[in-house]
Amino acid sequence: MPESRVVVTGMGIMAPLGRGVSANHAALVDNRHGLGDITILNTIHRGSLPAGEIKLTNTDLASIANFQGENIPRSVLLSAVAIQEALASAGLHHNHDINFYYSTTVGGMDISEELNDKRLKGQDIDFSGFKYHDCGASTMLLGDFFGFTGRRYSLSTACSSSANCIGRAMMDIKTGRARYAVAGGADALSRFTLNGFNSLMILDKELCNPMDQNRRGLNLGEAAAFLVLESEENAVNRGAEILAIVSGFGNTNDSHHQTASSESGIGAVLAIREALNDAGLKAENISYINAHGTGTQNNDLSEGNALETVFGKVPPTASTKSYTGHTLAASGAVEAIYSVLAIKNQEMYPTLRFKEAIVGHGFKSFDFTIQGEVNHVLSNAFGFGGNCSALIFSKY
Amino acid sequence: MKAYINHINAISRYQYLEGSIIEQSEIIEPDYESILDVRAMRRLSKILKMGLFTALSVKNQANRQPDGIICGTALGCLADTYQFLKNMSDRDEQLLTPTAFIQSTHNTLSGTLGIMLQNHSYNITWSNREFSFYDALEDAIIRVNKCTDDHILLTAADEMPRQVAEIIDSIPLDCPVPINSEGAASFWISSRPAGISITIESILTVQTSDVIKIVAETSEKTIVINSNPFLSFTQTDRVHNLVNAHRSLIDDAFCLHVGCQLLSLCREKSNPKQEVLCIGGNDAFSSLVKISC
Repeated sequence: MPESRVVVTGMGIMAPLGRGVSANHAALVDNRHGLGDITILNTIHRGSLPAGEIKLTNTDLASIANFQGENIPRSVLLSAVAIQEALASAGLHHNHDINFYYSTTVGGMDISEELNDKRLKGQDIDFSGFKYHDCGASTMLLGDFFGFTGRRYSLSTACSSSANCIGRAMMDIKTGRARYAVAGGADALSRFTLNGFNSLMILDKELCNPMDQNRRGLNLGEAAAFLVLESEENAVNRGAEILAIVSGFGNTNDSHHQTASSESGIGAVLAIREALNDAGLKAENISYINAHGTGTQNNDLSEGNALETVFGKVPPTASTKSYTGHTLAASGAVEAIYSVLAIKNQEMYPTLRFKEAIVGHGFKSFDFTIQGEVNHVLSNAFGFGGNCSALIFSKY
Repeated sequence: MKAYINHINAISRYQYLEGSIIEQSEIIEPDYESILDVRAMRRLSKILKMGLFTALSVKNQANRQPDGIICGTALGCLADTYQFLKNMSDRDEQLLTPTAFIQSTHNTLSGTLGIMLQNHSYNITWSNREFSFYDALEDAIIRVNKCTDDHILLTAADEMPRQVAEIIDSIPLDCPVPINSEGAASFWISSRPAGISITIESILTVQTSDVIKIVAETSEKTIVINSNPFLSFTQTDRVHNLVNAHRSLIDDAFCLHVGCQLLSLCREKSNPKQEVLCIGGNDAFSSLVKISC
């Protein structure tokens, strides 16, 4: 059977830039970020560590999504809202044959950490609150909520998680193993991740400056983002609007360190080349790069080195983490949506607060003088464990 | 579909010995130092020790680099996760060291394998309750099917530290068997046969309510090994239940491991072609993996 092209026909997002694709698009176009003081997460770091927090309580989210149940993880509630949007925009409903590809790193940690705190302080707790702790619990809750009848997958590769979901979904559509795929991921803010990144001393106490010589670290964010994928033929036959093509995917390992990237960025180089090869494109075909660009010393130096190795003359490159913060498992899917928006609207989103190129890098993020058609967008996502993933989206 | 299991290793409660499946109440841990560096071992949590041991021993048997490292874990690095949670509570979110956090991510094992083997290839971790290993196995098969000479190092691992077991014991779960066990199993999945050369005939998921009928329709030559705690078959010469008082969410990996042991022993005795159907899953869905030699 010949392999068919895989297209995006639906998108849904809950992010610090707002609820829904159009709210996110408006913020990107207006260069408006969603970072600020933490007001919902119960942490001592309120007021000292800025984050991209979605300003809705779990009760708000449950009521928006019409999701009933006790102790439902925040990531699941964010996902439910985003998936509803993705399905509606693709014109799909639950009795279509949909495979579900979910990813998260925190799972039900937001609930577990509160309960365990109380437990250790000797308070009475309802232990059933722990039962949605694991990643697979979220997949099950969402699969059941939407009644997805196809296969339900879930994976967890730290900050590259949802990029890997999209990559696998793309492969399954291409080879006919799935007719429709809802693929993405979610991570709500949790004290666990906030304190974890803080203990690594890679959180910026101010608003982050990704890809900048004077970058100080990352801001965490929370989000849920999902894309609907199907074959071009299927989309054309049912008259669905095609937003973009998912044309390439690469997954490699940097094999350097559990939490740091190699200076050469060899893992990133290999992932990007694999994605280019998968898409049948050359480096010079890429019009715009959505960098992983977390804002840490290590990532941005390593990633920039990798981009120079692959591209020589690096095309316009920007990090939307300057708008959202680092949304961990969700970031690959959040930025996949931003990449599709860039293609659909023929625009690029500059790195906010950017002043000075990183010493040693021959490119700036973002060079406004370079403008042109946005035909192919590369989106990077790297994670702990040396996981490096690259996706390429192309104009339909 | 064409995929082979060429090398296996497990730290499991189950063994196939002298014609029957033996179950211990706890896993028997190997001499880790026979494979792992003693100094590095002190820093490793149990899930990493177990997973690295089985993975590296399988890699050593294959004696070559894999073209992909795929892991499945349902609960991830629970000991380090719990440690960081506890530190956070004890120290009121202040003056925390990052070690436990670094080792707490679900992909710690696959990432560590990538670093130890200096392997830049495909690297992923699936985490999907009773389907964590199944998702990983399916991924491995898909990848070896794409090429004529492709080799995947596939590992399932879960740990059950005491502090977390205490919590899990208190969770009201609607399953007849508590989740209280741990272990690791590794498989070298290849597009061409070598080593024990077990053929993976088919893998699929079905509704659990359909499994009884499917098993009833299997041929007399098919041995059935069930690790789904929501299913119980009448034990016969050819139908075995692995389920009793203990359970992990990756029991389907141990089920497949025992199935491979059984088939490779059969072949040693030059028995004719035989099939094993390995069953895993939960109350809603079941995974069926059919292997032969």
